[in-house]
Amino acid sequence: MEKKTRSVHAESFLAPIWKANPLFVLILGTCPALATTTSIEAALGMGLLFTFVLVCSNVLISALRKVIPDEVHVPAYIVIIATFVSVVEMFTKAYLPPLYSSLGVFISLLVVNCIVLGRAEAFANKNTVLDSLLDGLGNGIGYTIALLILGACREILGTGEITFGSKFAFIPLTHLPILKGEGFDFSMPIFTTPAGAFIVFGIVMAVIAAVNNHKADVEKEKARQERLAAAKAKNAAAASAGKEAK
Amino acid sequence: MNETTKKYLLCAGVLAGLGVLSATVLAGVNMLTAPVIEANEKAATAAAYKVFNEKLGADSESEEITVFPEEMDATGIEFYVEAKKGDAVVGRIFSVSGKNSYGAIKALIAFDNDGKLVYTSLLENGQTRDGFKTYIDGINADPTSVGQLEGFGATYGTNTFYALYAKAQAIAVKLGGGVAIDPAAIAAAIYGSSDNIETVAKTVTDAAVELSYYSRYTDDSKAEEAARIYLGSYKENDQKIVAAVALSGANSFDGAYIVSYSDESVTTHATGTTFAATELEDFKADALAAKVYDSAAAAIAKSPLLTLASKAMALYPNATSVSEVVNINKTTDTRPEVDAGTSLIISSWNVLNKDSEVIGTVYRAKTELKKEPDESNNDYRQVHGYIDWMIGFFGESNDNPSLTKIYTIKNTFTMGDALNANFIEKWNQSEVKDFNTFKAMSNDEVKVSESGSIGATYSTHGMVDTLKEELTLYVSIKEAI
Amino acid sequence: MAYFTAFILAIISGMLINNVLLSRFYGICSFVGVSNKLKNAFWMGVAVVVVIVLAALICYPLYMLLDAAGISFLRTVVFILVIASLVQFLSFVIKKYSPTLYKAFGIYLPLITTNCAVLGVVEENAASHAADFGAAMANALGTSLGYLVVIVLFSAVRARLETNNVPRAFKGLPIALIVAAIMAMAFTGMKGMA
Repeated sequence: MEKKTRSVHAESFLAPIWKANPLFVLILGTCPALATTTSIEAALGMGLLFTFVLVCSNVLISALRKVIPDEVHVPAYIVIIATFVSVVEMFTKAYLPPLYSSLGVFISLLVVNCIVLGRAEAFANKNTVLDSLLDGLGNGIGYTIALLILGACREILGTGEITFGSKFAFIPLTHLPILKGEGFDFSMPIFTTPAGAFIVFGIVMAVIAAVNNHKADVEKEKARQERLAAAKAKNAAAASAGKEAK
Repeated sequence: MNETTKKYLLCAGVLAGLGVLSATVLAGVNMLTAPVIEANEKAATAAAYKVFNEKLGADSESEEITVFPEEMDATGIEFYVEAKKGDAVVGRIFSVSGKNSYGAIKALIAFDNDGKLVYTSLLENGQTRDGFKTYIDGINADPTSVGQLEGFGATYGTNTFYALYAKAQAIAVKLGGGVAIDPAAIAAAIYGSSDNIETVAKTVTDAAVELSYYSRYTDDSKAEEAARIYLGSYKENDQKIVAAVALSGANSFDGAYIVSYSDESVTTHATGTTFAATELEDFKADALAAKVYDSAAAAIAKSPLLTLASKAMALYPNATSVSEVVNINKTTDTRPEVDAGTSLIISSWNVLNKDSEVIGTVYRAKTELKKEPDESNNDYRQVHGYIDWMIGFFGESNDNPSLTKIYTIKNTFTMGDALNANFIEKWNQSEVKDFNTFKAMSNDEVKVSESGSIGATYSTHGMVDTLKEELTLYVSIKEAI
Repeated sequence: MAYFTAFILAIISGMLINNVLLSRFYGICSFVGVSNKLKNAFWMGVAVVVVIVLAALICYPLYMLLDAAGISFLRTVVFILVIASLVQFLSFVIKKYSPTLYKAFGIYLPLITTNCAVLGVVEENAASHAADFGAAMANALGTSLGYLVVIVLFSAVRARLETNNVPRAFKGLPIALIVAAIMAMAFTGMKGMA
């Protein structure tokens, strides 16, 4: 039975969210993933900013793909991406100062984020604006989800509680105690340090690898069983044919 | 136009166009956001000032002042703001900026009119390290810890901060009408010399006035206090005095010096006046000065001077007084062997009981060692340093006198802790303490280079050699009596 | 003389205490990707050192100009264009004078453009207004040397990891990250040094 082929549009949106997740599968954009995931809010903020930059740059580059000559496409893309990043940086500095001071120079580093440049080179300059938009959204959501996973692990394990409202100042400041609260404190501060970032990332990658390995093993086993069954059937058929021949 | 020029034109055109577009967009966004950013920063500093004003008890602050008093080093201080309550200036908030190992430190430091630190907070620290924040919090909790710069993650930053702090404080003191406290100058005014004077003041708790003191030592080993210069600050009825009172005992007045006195009509106690040791009554003639004196006298009565004589006395349970033996023959022993050093008997005290009989003699000596590794003998031990120690002799016997506990003044041996734990503490706890026991415990008979045990060491041998010298001296004096 | 010691101190601090990879997280992509063979890692590090120092050298006066003209909001665009051109120029020079080296670098040379460390250092120098030229260059040198040190160490460790018995799920990247975590912990031990 053949799987229903999704439309190209849906595919370019859905694939990067999990199957081709830019951080966990393609291993791109790791710098901000380690540096800005000390808390869920920071991770969310970074992810949103990233999505905005990616979508805008994808759309614009795709719109101009027929206009920009191939020889100068590298500096052209760089200027486009850098412009959007600067815009985003200025807006963040003005309207979300706590987020700005927490993300710091990593907002500017979105310019050299491998994902943004990569999608521009690989996708946006070959596909329509709509597809590029969806691709940008998909990658953005996928990256944000990945950042959120890392951020959640680090914040819950590292500080013991989830804090809302410290980076997004329009939300009232609330703490959700999980590992830390009145009278008990099981938080492990190492997870808020750089070492902890590596550990969490490594373990998440290992978990994903384990899941994939398991899936691959199951597939292999299934294929083996099928081959066995086919061989048995063949033998049975040959045997019965041989019997009949006798 | 051929294809290639067309191509170049297109390329250049596209790039130029993109460049212009980008610059326009960015300029536009900048115009939009720059005022918001500035407003944010102003709000942030205003919020910071609010905290400071609360601490100072002010209700408004002046504009930023960038003019500093002449001849004062103001590098790194961007401006200061006068915190006012009504019309009176209650303090000054300095905005300082300096370099960290990786970025800039910007801080606000607030001093009151006397130059005392009220509060400080960081405005910006390039990549804030927790250690630096701990230091700042520590200063706010305990202003005297500002000089303690050890053990923090960003010590380059703390050093920079301390330098800025000192500069700002000097200016605050000058502007606030306060006077800088210079212990060396005060000591010179009272004693005629500023030698051996402690530079860090020790605060006195539960005193009637604000009191701290600087120790004046007998010599640069800083083992004994000869006197204390108490610095008292007292305010009454809008008049304020800051005076230094030098005492070398509960009833022993060495002199006084007026650091500052706010009432200029009192000419006897004007700023800079020195009182000699005989002028105690003149000093106490002024009510404020008397208050400072009483407070200092009470403080020294409560915690007397740290003298070696008192320590010597403490070695004997029945002692009531000591008298220092003057003209002691300070033996210098220069034995060039590798396992001995220079023993120097520094001073000696006779300890007396209530009937003024000599019950014992205490010797203070400095056992020094400079032993290098001797590879030809497979002796890799290296011992450097000295121990400055006191021990008392008593009893009838001249061959095997009884000994008191050891009092260590200073121990700088390379393995000083081991010496302390394995020998000195064992000695002090031992039931029998006499000359023979000392020799046994220090393994006098065992040659150090052949000993495998910890017991015989160069330092214990050095101490035994010193003790033998002391015994010789003790016996010779005893027989002379 | 004091200035000189401050300079050296800043380099050491950037190199060891506030290490670019293990503490500030610049340059991670190239870190996890390239460092398998010691020789390649070393030359990659050297190339990064050269690029960062040159970029800092050029961008510092540029930023001063931009700031003086009041158009410092253009700095990101200008910086990245400078870096991209620099890398382009460098690869051209290497291709011309040592084709073997060029081959050895492969695609990693143009990839230095996207190395966060380069732009990161330049942006940091711009952001800390109090930094004078010496501090900016010390930052650049310290950061790039720190990158070199860590990348060489890491590739040596990774070479050993290849031959070791690592649980299946951890093979490859995950165990490398755990090792990086341990290295990061080790480097935090240097905190008290300066």
